This record gives sequence, C-alpha cells and structure tokens, in this order.
Amino acid sequence: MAFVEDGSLFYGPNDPGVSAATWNGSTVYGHLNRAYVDEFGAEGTGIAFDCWAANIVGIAHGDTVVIDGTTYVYRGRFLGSDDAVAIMKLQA
Amino acid sequence: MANHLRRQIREGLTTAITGLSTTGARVFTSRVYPLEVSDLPGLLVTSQSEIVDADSYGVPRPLQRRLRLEVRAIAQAAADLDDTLDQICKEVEIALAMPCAALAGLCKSITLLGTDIGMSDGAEQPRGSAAMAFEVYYVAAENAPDVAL
Repeated sequence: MAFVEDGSLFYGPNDPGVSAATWNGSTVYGHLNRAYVDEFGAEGTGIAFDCWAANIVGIAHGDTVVIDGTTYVYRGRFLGSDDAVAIMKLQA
Repeated sequence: MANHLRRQIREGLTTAITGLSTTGARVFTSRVYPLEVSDLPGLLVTSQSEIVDADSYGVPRPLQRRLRLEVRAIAQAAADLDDTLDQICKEVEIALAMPCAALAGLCKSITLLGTDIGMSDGAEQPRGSAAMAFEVYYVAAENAPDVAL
C-alpha cells in the first residue's frame, strides 16, 4: 500500500504563520511569503504562497486568490523537491 | 569655475525630462539605491561613458566629446505595461529632441542610439524597464572642460 502524506499536518489552520487562502470557493491553508526584490532598480515585493499541492489541483492562471483579506491573481506555481508542496506565484 | 560640462549636460537633460505627463517629478540622477514603488513610473538618469577625440594640434586642443547618457524608464502596471513604457519613451524623446532648450549652449547634438526593453514578474505587479541610450556630442578645450565651444 502506498504511503500517503497528510498535508493537513503540515499546514494546520492553527499553526503559527499559516494563513487561509480562498480560491474557487474553497479554503486552502499555507504560508504567505513576501520577499524583498529589486527589479530594474526599484524595490518591490515578491509574493508567494506555499501550500499542499493536492489542495490546489485545477487552479488556473488568472484565478483569484484571497488571503488575509487581500485579493491576488494566481500567476503560476512550481513544486517543491518532494512534489507535495506547491509554491504559488501571486500578483497583487 | 562652472561644473564640468558632463555634469551641466546631465543636469540640463534632467531638467528637460522633469515634469513629463507620465513620470512627473519622479526623475532621479545617479541613483545608486533602488527606487520605492511610490517613485514609479519614474526615470533614472546616469552617465555611462564618454569617448574623447583630440583631432587637432595646438595648445590648448579642442576635444570632441561623445557622452553616453542613459535615461531608464521604470514602470509597474497590472496590465499594458509595454504601452506605459512606450508612452514614457515618447515623452522623453520629444523632450530631448533638438533643439532642446535645457541643453542650449552646452552641446552640439543629442541623439537617441537605442532602447533596451525588459519586463519581469518578480515584483508584486509586472515591472518593466526601457533604457534609452543617448549620445551627447559636445566640444570643449582640454584645459576648460566646463566651457562649451
């Protein structure tokens, strides 16, 4: 029997730093990351949200994601080394 | 003694492109540290290089100088970023077209050599840059780099 990891153990709604993201009527839990970037000589913020990949199957570029009351636009994702965690790139 | 002509030209160019419709007063000269998001859309002015020719004899010799200046437009927009950059370039090119009053008496000509355009998704919204390279041709005596001939 294949081993299946339980993503909720990694992104529990009550865990420190975990935020709720609403996408397509459902709620996904993960970490909102806001990183300093310097693009073309102007500072900015790179916005990403990492969560359990299985929870965002079907998300499409251009979809709206609401996190902590702020609306973002989903622009892409890549998977972590274990393929279990997805890092979503978001546009403000 | 006045400032080096290179500085006078850079400052004159900055004056000429300050107050344009899209970038307004957000014009920065020789900026080392990054701009803030509130500074966008904005313009960065930097001296890049200069080629000097001494094509005559005598003392002092007149030096023909070709100063390369970069005017970099930086903008951030959720949509139509390329349109914004092109609009900024249009305004800058018109402002610097000869005869440019802010450069009168300082140089013989200013010529747009080319524009490098780039866009990125690294910031909170799409970010783009249009780096316009201008060549400013001016002449000064070798012992008086602050006085245009």
